[in-house]
Amino acid sequence: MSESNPPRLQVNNVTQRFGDVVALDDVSLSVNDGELVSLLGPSGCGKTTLLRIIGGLAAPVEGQVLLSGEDVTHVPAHKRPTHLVFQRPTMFPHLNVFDNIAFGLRISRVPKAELRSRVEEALSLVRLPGYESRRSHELSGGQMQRIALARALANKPQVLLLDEPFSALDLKVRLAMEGELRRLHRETGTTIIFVTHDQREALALSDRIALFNQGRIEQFAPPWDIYQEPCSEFAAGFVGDANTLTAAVSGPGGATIGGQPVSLPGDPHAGTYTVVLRPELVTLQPQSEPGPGLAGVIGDLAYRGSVVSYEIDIEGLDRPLRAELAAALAADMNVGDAVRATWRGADCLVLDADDGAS
Amino acid sequence: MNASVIARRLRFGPGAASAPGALGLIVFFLAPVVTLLVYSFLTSGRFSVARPFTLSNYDATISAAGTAGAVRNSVLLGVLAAGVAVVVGLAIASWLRYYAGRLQNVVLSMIIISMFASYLVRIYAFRILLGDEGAVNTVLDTLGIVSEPVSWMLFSRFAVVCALTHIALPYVVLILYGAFRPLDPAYLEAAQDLGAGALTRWVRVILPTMAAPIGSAFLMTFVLTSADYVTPQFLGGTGQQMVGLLIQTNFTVAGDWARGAALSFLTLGAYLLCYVIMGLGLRIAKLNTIRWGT
Ligand SMILES: Nc1ncnc2c1ncn2[C@@H]1O[C@H](COP(=O)(O)OP(=O)(O)O)[C@@H](O)[C@H]1O
Ligand SMILES: [Mg+2]
Repeated sequence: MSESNPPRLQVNNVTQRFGDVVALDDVSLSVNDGELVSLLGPSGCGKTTLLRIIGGLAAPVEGQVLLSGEDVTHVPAHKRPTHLVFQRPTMFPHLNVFDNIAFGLRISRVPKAELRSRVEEALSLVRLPGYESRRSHELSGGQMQRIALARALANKPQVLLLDEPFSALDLKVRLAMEGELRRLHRETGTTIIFVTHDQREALALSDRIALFNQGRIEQFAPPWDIYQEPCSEFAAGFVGDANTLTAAVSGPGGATIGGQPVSLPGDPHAGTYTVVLRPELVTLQPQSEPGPGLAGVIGDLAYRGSVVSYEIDIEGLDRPLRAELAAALAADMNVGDAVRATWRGADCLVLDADDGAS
Repeated sequence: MNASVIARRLRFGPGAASAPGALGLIVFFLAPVVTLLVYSFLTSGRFSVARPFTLSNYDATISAAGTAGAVRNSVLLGVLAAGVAVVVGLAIASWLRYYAGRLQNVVLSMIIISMFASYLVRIYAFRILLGDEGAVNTVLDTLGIVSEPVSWMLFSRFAVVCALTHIALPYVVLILYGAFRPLDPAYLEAAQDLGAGALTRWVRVILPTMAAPIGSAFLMTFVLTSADYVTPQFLGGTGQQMVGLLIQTNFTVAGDWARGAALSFLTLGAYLLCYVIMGLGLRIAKLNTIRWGT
């Protein structure tokens, strides 16, 4: 990206407090033109607060918001080229679909012919042409959120802000809406900030994910990186399923988990480490076959169609180790079987030592 | 269907539960109104009515010298008081809904308690407020704004409108506060997000969605204030006849019950007409019923 082309959106050191609650703590974020960035995190971690600050519905106590390089921190929402879709439908009940979508266009005095074509265009983008004269009570929840999307898109926002727009919908409708949003993003090239607490949704939709934890950004990276290389135990646990184990390293090649010898990638120094291991990367072997790995007993198993989930009770560990095997490989393993859990060395992730050594 | 079946239906049928309600309506609403309606078509004696039936009461009322002026006065005062009450009530109700926070319940209770005070006491309070030695003049004097008391305030239309507005305001606030409940702040934020400044939000979102309750509040307080006949007597100037006073005079001093009744029904008809016109207007604008989402 060249010097003359500032990022579409920059959030610089934004802090927000509500009384004693620190909702955002020195948050910085830079979003490129046309990117779809998710703000992912558990409920109450400050996602909505940041979105409202970006949209101009609130001003931060510290920090700046820049749109295409221009400082808009104190520009109110109605003068900002950003548009928001709220969690709950906010379709104006006294107006029909057409007038709802035209709401912003009328305020900015778009000429009649253009207004009509932009409303029609927005409606076909969300695949609801022909719904112009409906009122909100004649629409389903999913349709109302599509209208809200169309209403925002008709104004051609510089940044489209979505605050968990699908969270109130049925799972099936929600999956369909995710597909729609990916298509919309491809077709319009709009820069989108998408708030969600659903890691699956964030992984499926985003170019990059900003993972929030208690008002701070824990990690900001593409979905692949977040999943493969979580920067912390929190990141590993929140995005996808993960076993987090404690490994003790006494010297080169002397790593143990729960007292059993294991090999860790990168030959870490002596110390205590957190090791992250995705269940789908664990393989199980009968203990009768010799080899490395953590010995244990299958405590529980759940058949999930394409995969089978196992919980293995391993001596020296306070939590069972979770493993997920392709159903085809899992045929002859049952509860009570003595097994050995193994993984390829590079498949487990060693986080920084708990005592500060690296 | 024989009589015993009808009797059983009446006692045990689905309508049985609503019988007390129907009885209440008949005793308290229908019977007095019908009696008065009959009076208005009878011939008046002194403090009495008798046959034959006639339309002359209506004729005489409409053409009487004082009627037009009284109507003008009533409409003027009613519109002023109800109008001011609606504007101020909108401001108070929206503040309560969107900004008052924890004060909401306290302020609402205060408004309701203010309605408990006797009507007469409240009218007298305005004498104390607006008189030459009253609170308003004292403040103006202390601040050095005036050197002599402002004496036009009391016994004037101004005083009447003040008192009538004061009486109408709690009703307006309660009606509008209830109406504001479903208008979640998120709708207003959505409007702002789409480019609507404060004024535009009022014009394009609040007023249209609140049109029906605003109309009801206005009409209700217009009826309440324009028909008032006590406040003008205590606070009004001389020579400002109002319809309510005319009706009262007909029934008491003049003893012309039939004309009093006729004037009552003309007034009632006028109010009904306003109601119908408002209903039609709202219907044409498609604002008569707003269906809020869940
Ligand atoms: N207007 C507000 N007043 C007081 N506290 C608030 C307000 N808005 C948010 N908070 C607090 O800030 C924190 C972050 O809230 P929010 O941004 O809504 O979280 P999220 O959207 O991630 O669930 C929460 O602890 C919440 O209680
Ligand atoms: Mg939220």
